[in-house]
Amino acid sequence: MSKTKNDKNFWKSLKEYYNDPDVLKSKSNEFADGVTEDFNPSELSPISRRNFLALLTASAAFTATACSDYQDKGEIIAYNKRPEGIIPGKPNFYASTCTGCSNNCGVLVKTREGRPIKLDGNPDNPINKGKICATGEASILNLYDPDRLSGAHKNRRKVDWKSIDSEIIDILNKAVSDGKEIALITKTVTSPTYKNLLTELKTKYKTLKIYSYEMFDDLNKRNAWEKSYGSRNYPSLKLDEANIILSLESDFLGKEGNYIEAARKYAGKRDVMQSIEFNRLYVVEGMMSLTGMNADYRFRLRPDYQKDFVLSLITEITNKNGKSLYSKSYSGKDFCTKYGFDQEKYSTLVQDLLNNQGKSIVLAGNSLSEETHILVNYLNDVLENSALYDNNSINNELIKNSSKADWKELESKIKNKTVSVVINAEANPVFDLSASFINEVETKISLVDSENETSSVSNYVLPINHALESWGDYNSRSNLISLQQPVINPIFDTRQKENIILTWVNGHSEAYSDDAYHQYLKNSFKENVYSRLNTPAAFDRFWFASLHDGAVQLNNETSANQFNYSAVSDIKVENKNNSEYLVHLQKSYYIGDGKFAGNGWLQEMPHPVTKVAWDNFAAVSPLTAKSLDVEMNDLVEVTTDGKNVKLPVIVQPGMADNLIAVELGYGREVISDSGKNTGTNANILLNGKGYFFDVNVSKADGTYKLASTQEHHSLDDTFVKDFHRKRKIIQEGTVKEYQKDNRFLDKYKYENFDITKGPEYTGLKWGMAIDLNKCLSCGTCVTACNVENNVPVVGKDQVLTGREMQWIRLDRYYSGTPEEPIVSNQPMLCQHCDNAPCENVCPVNATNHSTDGLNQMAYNRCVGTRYCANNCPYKVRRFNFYNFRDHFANAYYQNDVSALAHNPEVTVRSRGVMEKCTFCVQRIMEAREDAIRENKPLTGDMVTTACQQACPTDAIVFGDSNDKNSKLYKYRNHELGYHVLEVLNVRPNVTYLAKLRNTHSEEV
Amino acid sequence: MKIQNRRRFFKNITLGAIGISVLNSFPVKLIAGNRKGNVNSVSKVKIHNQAVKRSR
Repeated sequence: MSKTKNDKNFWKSLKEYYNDPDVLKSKSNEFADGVTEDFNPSELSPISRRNFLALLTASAAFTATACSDYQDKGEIIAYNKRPEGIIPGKPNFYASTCTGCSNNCGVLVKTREGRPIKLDGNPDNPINKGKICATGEASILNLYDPDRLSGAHKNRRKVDWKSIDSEIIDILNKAVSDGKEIALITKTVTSPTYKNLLTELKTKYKTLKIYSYEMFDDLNKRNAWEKSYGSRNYPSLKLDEANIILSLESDFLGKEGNYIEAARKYAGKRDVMQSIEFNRLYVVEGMMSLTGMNADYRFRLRPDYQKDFVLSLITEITNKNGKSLYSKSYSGKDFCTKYGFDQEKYSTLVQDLLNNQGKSIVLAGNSLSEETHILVNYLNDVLENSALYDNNSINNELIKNSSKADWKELESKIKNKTVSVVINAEANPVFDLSASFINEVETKISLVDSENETSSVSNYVLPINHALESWGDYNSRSNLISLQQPVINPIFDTRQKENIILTWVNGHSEAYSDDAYHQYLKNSFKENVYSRLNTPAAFDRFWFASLHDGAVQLNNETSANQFNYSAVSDIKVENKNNSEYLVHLQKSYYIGDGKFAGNGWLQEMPHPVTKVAWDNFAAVSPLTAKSLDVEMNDLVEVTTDGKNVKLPVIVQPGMADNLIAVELGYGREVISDSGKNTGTNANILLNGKGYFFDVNVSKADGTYKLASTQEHHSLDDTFVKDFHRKRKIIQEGTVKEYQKDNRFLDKYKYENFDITKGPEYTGLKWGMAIDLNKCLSCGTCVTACNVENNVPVVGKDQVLTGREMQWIRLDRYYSGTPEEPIVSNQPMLCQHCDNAPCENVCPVNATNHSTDGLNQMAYNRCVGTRYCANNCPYKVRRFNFYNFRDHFANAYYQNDVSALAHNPEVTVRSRGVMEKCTFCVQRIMEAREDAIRENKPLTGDMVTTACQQACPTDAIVFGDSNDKNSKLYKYRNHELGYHVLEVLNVRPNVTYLAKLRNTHSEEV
Repeated sequence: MKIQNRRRFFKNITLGAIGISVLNSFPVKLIAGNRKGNVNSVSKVKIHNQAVKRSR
């Protein structure tokens, strides 16, 4: 074949043209010379690329099989035989009682498909009126705690209930026949039926003695009331009628007494919508408390000087109103000089008390001494403030708590081996009271729901039902019986504590029945309540109606007693020598005495004052920190009576000097993984001398990082000082300023304008208003939001990097000086801006604005660029950096039981997705469905957000801002209403009402 | 795919499978699986039918 034009022979070089053998060789070699110096091509794997890819795919397939988390999650099948009373998708509500503390607030339990998912206050309960505290809200997580005990155990080995009951009954009988004491340790008893049961147990086992305690009890108050008025039961207070409230170390809005009731009554007189005649709150305290943050006037004073303060007040007041029956005198001037008090503010206080006799109240904190309480009772009597005592509603004491002497006696009896059995009924004395002597007892029986320090040393551990699985009744107030009913059958193999005790009373294990205590309670109710009420209704009908309502009101008016003046005659002036340092041991705001230390939501709740989560600390004033040469996160060693404890420091503005404030309940060692390594156990400092006593303090080596959710801005740093005022984030005034000119905020208002015409919202438009006069920053809204919206717990390490997931945060700003700061609080949540900066920047349009004014979030569209969070000026967007359920504490909340706590109406977000407040869109949707079904229009008052429902002071208002008749409309257009960062023209839908402080001047 | 050394190939496969099974059996989540053993005994929620419901 001849070569044509297309058959040309192409060559790249002359060598190739002349068929150089080197060229031919290089064509066959894969690598040119010099390239294979570091390896030998003939030693390479002979595997071809095809085979390599085949092997790689096979390995990947193996790994995928191993790594897949395929578990049969079951099938969703519609009810074939629907349980009575349950409509899938519709919640049921049951009235019950919260047992988080001895206030026993009435609750409404929301259940879905037979399991409780949320606790709210019972509106029919006249004490708490539809509100509960943050601890009550979060207590639902304890029901679904995967570390709850299941099955009776003897010496760590599981045994059946019947044999353990028989054994225990034999042990108790033997103790009686040997004449040895049986010590039953319990917390404060507020249930009359449980009290009767314990009495019957005492009758059956004659050597039984009951020891009851409460970590932060009101023993001093009760003893003082007995000496002052002859009765141990003190009345509740009509705080809603008080013009002047003086709180002496009494955090009555935060953690003392029934603070939910107190908050409602206090805020009732700080409602601008009702009246501008506000009450005035004076607080005299050492450590800054929640009550102190809300004070109109605040004085710093160590708790050991309070007695002298009250004496000086008595002297000043009785000198002026001539009612002196107290012989000692201690002038106010001497007091102010000695303790560095502002004389002018002191005189203002005295004058205010005198001007409001019969309409003021002086409150003494539970930690103050008995003598101080007696003096305060006398002061109230002198001021005729007994008019504010509500004798219809007395704080009952069913069983007197054991004194320090009783515990000492128990300890010596145990050492002398005259106590052979200790029964721990839902208490934890080994941790709470550092009662390690209990270990020496021969037989220790614990009735607890989860493992604690006491049950870990017990021979017999009998797991008990959670409060939501139990029957009960509570009589903490004389005019009310609050009933408790189970809303779910026991999830684990547990029994109700009272049922177990009833079996022991009956004397043989066959006597047990699941329903036994229910019947016992019913009979007790019939005898003690129904028979006294003289109601025409048949008993069964009345019983069911009472369970439906959750509470039965009793007419129990007690007549007021006269003050016993001999009680004060022996009290001397303290005139204490200034000790170097004083420690004040206090109750935690959220985890109680350590009972809720394993509850992730509560541990993650930032402390209302210091904003520290997951730890306790030693709070000191700036001056004390300087003298000890410590800063935040340094360690101090607190020593007393040979015991010492190292604590991390937090520098707290507004604290009294030379005072160390420490919260107890932390540092528990026998607790679920969610509560491990949280804080330091300071309970060992308790020495029987009360809750504040002299100590030695010194700087210790090392540091400890505290997770604080709020930056501690230096109050002296010119750049950030008062920036919240400069940027109008916080706008405040005084009552006098407002009375003079009710439009005083107008000069700060900013007129925004748009050059384009934005969308018009003519129909329903959701909005929210928060009244900062009523907001106490208690944190109940935050916890309620967590429960309602399945917000995950992230753990301390994530909080340290600022990744806490709570949708609402409570911002706290200081102004003034570090010694006498003024505190401003502001709840901050998604403002649902009409001109949202987050919506424009989402690359996948996962966040957009609805036609009814909501800033919506489509979780499955979100790819996690976080541009929206970057753009948000309020920093309210939260990103799921991990699947936190999986990440926190070794996947502690990633299991079948914890998942039962989730609200089925709200998506559980996974990793990589942005979330934020949705204005409870699931509640809006539910209301919309109801409205459509009932063929009526959806209105703003048909929806209540979780935070609004939970707020004890009703500071949050939600509704339709286009409805001129709605409450929200009035708030949005109020002269005190303002928007945060208004100048940015984002047009937020959350209006804040400026706080008015009730001071004597026009300036804050 | 050509297996050069059949004995070595099967030995590797077997060791790999044993290794993955051992790792999976740990209570700590290394590769996959649930942590809590106790909760697997909860089969379903038992409704309490003696409680009195609130009327809507």
